[in-house]
Amino acid sequence: QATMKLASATINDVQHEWQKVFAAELEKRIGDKVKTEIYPASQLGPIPRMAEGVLLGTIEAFTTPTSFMTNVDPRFQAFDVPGLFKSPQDIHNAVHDPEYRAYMETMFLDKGLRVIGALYNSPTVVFTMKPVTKLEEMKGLKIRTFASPMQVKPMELLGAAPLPLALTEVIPALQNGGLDGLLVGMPILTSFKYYDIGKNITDLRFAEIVSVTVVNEDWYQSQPEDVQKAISEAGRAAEEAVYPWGIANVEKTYKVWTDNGGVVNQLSAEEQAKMEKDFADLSATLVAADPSVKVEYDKLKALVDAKAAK
Amino acid sequence: MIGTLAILPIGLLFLGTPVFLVFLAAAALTLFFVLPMPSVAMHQVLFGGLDNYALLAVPFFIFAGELMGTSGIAARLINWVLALTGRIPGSLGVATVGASAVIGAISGASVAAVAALGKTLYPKLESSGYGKERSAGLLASAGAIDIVIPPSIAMILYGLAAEQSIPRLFVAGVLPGLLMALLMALFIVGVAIWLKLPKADRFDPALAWTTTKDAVWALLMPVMVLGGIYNGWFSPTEAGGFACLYAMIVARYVYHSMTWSQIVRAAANSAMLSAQILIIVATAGLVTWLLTTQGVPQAIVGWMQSLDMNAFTFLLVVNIVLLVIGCFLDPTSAILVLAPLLVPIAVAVGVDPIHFGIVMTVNLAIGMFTPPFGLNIFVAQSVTGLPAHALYRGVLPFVVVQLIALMIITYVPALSLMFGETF
Amino acid sequence: MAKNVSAAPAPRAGVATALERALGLLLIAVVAINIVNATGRYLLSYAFTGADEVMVFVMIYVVMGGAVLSLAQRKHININLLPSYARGRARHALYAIHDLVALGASLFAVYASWLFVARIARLGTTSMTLGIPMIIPHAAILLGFGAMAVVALFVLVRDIRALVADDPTIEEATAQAEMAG
Ligand code: NA
Ligand code: NA
Repeated sequence: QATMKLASATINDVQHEWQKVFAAELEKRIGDKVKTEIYPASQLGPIPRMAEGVLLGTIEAFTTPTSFMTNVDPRFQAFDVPGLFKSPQDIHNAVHDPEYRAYMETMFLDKGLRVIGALYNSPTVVFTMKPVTKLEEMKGLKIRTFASPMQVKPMELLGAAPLPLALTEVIPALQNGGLDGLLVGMPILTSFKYYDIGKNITDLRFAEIVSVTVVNEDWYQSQPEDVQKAISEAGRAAEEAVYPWGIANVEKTYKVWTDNGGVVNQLSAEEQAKMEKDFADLSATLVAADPSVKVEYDKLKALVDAKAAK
Repeated sequence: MIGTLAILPIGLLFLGTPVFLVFLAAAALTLFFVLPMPSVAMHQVLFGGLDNYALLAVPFFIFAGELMGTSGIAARLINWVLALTGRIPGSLGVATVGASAVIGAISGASVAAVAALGKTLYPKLESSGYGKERSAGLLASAGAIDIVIPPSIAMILYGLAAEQSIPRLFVAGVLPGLLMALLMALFIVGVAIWLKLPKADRFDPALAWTTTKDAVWALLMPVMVLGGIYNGWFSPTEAGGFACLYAMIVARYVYHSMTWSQIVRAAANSAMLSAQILIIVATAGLVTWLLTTQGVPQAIVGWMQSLDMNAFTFLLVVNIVLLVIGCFLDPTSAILVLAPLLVPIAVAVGVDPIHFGIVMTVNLAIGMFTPPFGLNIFVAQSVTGLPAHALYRGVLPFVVVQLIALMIITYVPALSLMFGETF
Repeated sequence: MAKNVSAAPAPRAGVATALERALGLLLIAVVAINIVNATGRYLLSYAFTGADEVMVFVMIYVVMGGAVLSLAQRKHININLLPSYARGRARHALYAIHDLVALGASLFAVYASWLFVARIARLGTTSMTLGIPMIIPHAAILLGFGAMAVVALFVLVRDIRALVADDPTIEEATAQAEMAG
């Protein structure tokens, strides 16, 4: 009996839900041939260590936003380009296109990783201590971002100071004014009860977070063929089952936010359009920086646009 | 696995093998003989244990403490406290507890507090008649207050793992932290009276004035560090670096008490002690990782669930289990692994999750100095040069004092929750 | 902990002091980066992104370096109940056991670390912020345990010779150092 450790950094969110459904779907197909163990909430270490763990085979599977895999392979950046996905449906359409799906599952095999799951996680919003309703008000704010250029550069473009602070430093820094806000997935804000710290988010909706589950390819290949097939099928089935759960979960988090006195600020339509245009120009330069990213981005972009047109 | 992860390590520890080697050897034997796990896991988890920004607080505060001790900053602070409070029995012991609470409000690095205060206060405590063992025990246990008084890394990790509000946890930790400090201070005053320790027979205004003048720069140090944190100039981790900078400037240019060469020597000592501590943290994390992936914490929680308890007995059992775990594991990994497992049970039996977070934090803080394994004990051993069994005897009374605090905190939830309504 | 110094001749102690001072200078450098970073962020709203990574990676080298030097000088934290009562051959035997554990555990760590570092070098992963090849920080573990294995072998030979000879000069040197510590 093989053991499959599934790790992630969060808990009770769409990633955790996917892992639970995946485990059930796998069991339905092959019984107890593979024993799944789920380790949420960074129990197996911080994100970079989990990423290395799945590369080296100490962890069999890792579910994570794509932005945390860009140091393993820059092509993961293609999923994070601002403006690429405009809605959850865009993501769903792309990852379930049969041809693209087959391609995506094997695109990182040269790194020893196989993608077995890809799903809509949540929109990225800006949490701020003071309300931001105009782009002008972003100027000079110290905003915590991931270290990825896909988050750092857009914040610089708005005149904010992006700071890739360690997660444990974020809340003390917000409380004492060392930090003015953060770029964050909406469900994180409510699960960690950020409404106890500040009340404002600005719904820039400039990027939708995609989460992927990658497995160690050596481990996958060491499994009998029926197990391999079952893993791939269970991954796709879990995605279909969890997709509506994820959308409902995001809606629920907006409600939890406002129920707890939180405010959702929007830019004016004019400013929103201006920001999206600026980000589109920025995206072009960002993807051009790495030809391998550009190839993947162009492929995805063409697919998303074609599906959206239908 | 019990052999390689429990019996063998205890044997090796008893033989006096360096603690980090005991953990490393236990993990190596487990990976080699017992588990079907790739050996690379050892490297990966060790590296992960060290690749942690929050751990920078340890070398920073140890270096700051070393500089304060060598430069005379600490001595001036002690003289100032004694001039003002010399008539109160046990004033130096109470000052030790107070200094720990202040460091607690700056950071959450318990071991760094033990190291910093140990270097500066241990010689003075000993010469004032507190006795070697009791002085070392006081230092090792006072450091635990830092974990409960916010900011606290343990609470941040609890918040992340149990999905609880970190600001609420911080607020909830204030009174329990102060209660721990208060009980320790009362105990020390009692000891001082019982031992008939010498005290000043009257308050001397002239002495108070001269010691205050002498201590101005030293007194500005905590003001600057705390002020910097609460004004948002720097983070609690970064504050350690600023404490070093301040102490270096005062030592070199104000007191002229240290040369650059001596400052580098102090840095070297701090680097060595930090290495000795952090290599233990990393290898302990390795053992925790092996236990976690083998389902040991999950099995313990499963057993607790099967007992079908009410809130009162649940909290009692949790306390006992955590104290036992705290004898062997470090608090941060224990919280990450246990909080998601225990919180649902706590909520089901009607325990407030914020209160439960404080109970877990206090418990694991006590674990830092309960024998046989406790980083605070090891650091106090290293700083004071006392043997381990002397430390064990020294900490025991304080274990009892803090267990009383723990019982109060556990069974008087209001202590943790009364200020929660500010949100 | 007993501040035993080994009965090393003066030149060897001089090398250890020089290496310790090098670690001290690295720690001061980390403090300096920390201050520049926080000051820049607060006063100029400019983050020297990647300062965190540099500080942590340097500290990993400091920890491994300090661990090697501490092993060579028997300075590591231990529960020193038994060694403090052991005298003569019994103490040498205990030390030899510690050295043996150090040698075995370090060699396994070197083996595990080599597997890891070799793969991470092939995969070419880089750090999140600065894009530093991750082999650089990871190599600290490999180099550190490699050096510890060499040191352990060296002190094992020394302690076994002392055990066999029941050499009183070594005994005296350790006892004196203990009194001083
Ligand atoms: Na604290
Ligand atoms: Na303990």
